[in-house]
Amino acid sequence: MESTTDIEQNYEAHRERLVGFCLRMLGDRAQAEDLAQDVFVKSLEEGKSEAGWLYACARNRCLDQLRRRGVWSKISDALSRGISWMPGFESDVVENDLGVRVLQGLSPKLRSLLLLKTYAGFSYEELARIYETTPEAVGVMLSRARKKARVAWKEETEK
Amino acid sequence: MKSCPDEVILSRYFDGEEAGEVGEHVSSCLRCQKYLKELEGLDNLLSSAPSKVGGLRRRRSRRVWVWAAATLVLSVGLLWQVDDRRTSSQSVQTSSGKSYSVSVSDGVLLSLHIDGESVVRNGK
Repeated sequence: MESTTDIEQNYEAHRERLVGFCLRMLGDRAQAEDLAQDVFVKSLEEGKSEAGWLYACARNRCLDQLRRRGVWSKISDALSRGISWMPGFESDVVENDLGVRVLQGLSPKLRSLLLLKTYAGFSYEELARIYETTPEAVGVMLSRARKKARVAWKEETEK
Repeated sequence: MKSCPDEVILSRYFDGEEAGEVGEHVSSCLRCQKYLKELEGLDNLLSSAPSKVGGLRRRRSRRVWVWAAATLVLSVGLLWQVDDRRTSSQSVQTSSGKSYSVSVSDGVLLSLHIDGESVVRNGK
């Protein structure tokens, strides 16, 4: 169990990167800031603040958030059906980060996996534990994620 | 290794998870080198901090917001009416003739039907 001061200092050292991780997961800066704050509260409750724990916690929160968003998007789609000019309830903020745009076509699982590898520097073994699979399967999923992201990146740069 | 390794092997090689003959092949294959260069570019993009510039806000007409607010109030109203402690269901019919039925258990949305069509089932 780490002391509260240690946790606060560790969290502060990782805060900006954590917000960036959440932003690339969610594509929404305000939600990313809120979620990173939730991670801090959770780290105080659990007495943990090492980088691996913080990112794994942020990943879980982001996946929950995206699941909820999926349900709401279905509801709003159904409610707005028949009213052609009424858009869904998708976020009205278009994030100006190329990384966000490149990742938005990936499933939440592949997006989080690729970010944990490239952005947070997790190893295949660490990822295998988090995703409850083997390092070999992690390799296959990472390749699939990179393939999709490469295509999106090319499309973005050709715009 | 004469033929090029597949994308999974190259992705693993990029991550330092493959060595030996893959490395030998790559050192003499321009095609694989180009592919790895692209992976490196993608990695640099994704590992960098997101741009500090804030989001660009898309403008919408006021009429759209009125509709959005009305449907949101209706949805929240439906959820509000049902007891969030146990599984319970509620159905309403609006003046426009649409019928909505919603089922909630322990505060979690279980199902939503609009005009008999299943929109949300088992919370998904």
